[in-house]
This record gives sequence, structure tokens and C-alpha cells, in this order.
Amino acid sequence: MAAAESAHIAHHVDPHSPERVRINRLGLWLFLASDALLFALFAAARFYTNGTYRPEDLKQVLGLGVTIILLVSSLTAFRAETSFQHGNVSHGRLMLLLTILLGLGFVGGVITEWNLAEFVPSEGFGTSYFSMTGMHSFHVITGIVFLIVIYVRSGRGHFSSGYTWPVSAVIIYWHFVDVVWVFFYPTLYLVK
Amino acid sequence: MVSASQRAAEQRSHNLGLRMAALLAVLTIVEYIVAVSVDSSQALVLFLAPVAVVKAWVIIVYFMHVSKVWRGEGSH
Repeated sequence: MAAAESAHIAHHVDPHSPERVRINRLGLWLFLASDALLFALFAAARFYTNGTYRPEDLKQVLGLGVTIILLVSSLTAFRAETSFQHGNVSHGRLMLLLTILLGLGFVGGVITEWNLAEFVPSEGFGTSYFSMTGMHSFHVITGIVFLIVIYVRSGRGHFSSGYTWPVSAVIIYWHFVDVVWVFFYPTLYLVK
Repeated sequence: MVSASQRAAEQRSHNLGLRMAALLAVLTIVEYIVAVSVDSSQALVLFLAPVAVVKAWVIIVYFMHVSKVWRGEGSH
């Protein structure tokens, strides 16, 4: 009886209410925590199999470049979120578009590094490098897809009424991808 | 229509984001310079690990608004 009543109430909770947003936010963070464990295992495997070894032919400038691109995309994503929250939809959409382009730039940089790399996936460091950057880039690409979805939805006026949780959720996910790279960059490119 | 007070609040948020991004950029450049100039593996790991934690903390606190998970909406 109580369970049926709870289900009935939950069914009628306004999806835009602060309580619903709070629950959604908690759910998102729980997902990110579980995803972070996956990335932590990749990093642990890199040190377990190769120690701190890294090949000399790794393109340091390219690594620094994609890192800066992702960092700048975090700033544009942050500006997009705050603009939407303050009702400045046009600036928010511009920042979303810039974030998408920077994300594509990051993926392009990683693909370039893959093509230039002189190590192969079947050797120790190569296994770690290609699996870590591959899984991370997969997350970047899914983030770009989410950003495109909210860009299109914002163009239809979906986030102009003060309800901006979908924008925040996608931006939080984007920042999470940046946090992962904060650890992957020194793990792959800097330790030796 | 966006009011002047909303614009001012938005600008304050943008300025905060810019300061945090500048801090992250400086830390990233320092990481890179130290990594190319230090040869000791142990020293590098001991330096890079805490710097990465600080960078992640800045993003999680200021960009991802982690405090909203327990404080609810409307907090910054």
C-alpha cells in the first residue's frame, strides 16, 4: 500500500521541481563516480604493466596542445552554463558551439597522435596508451553528442524558462571528461 | 529580457570561471616545464600527483559545483 502510494506520488513529481533536480544531480554524480573507477583502473594498469616508462617519440607538444584545448573547452562550457542560468540564451548557445568545436579539435589531436605514434597497440606502453586515450575520446565524443543535443534544444526555446538542469547535466559531464584528462595527461605524457 | 542585475551576476560568474581557468592553465604549463626538465622519476611522480589533484579539485568545486549535491539547488 505504502509502496504503491510512493510510486503514485513519484509519478506526479514535477520534473522541473528542485527536489527532482536534486535527485537527478545525485544520480549523475553516482554515475560519474562509477565511471571514475573505470578510468582509475586504466591508470593503475598503465603503471602496473609499464612502470613510469614512456617512449621518447611521444609528441609532447601535441599532448600539451590537446590538454590546453580541453582546458579552454571547460571554460567555454562553464560560461555556457552560467549564461543559460542567467537567461542569456544567445551567449550560452555561442559558448556551447565553441565547446563543441574545441571538443572536435581535441578528438582531432588524439587521432593525429594515433597516426604519428611509432609504438603499436600490441606492445606494453601502446596497449595502455591506445586503450586510455581511446576510452577517454569515446567519452569526449559522447559529450559532443550531448552538447549538440542541448544546442539544438536550446534553439527551440527549451531552456529559456529558468529550467536549465539538462544544460547543467551535460556541462558537468563535460567537466568530468576534463577531470579524467587532468590525470591521464601526466600519466601518459609526463612521467618517465 | 535579461535585467541589468542578471547581467552583472552573469559577469561575476564569468570572471570567476576565467580566474579558475587561468589557474589551471598555469598549473598545466608548470607541469610541462617540470616534466621536461626533471629526470628523476620519483621526483616527477611526487610533483605531478598533487598538482593533478589540485587541478581536479578546482574543476570539481568551481566548475562542477559539487557542493550542490548536498546543499541543494541555489547554492554556489
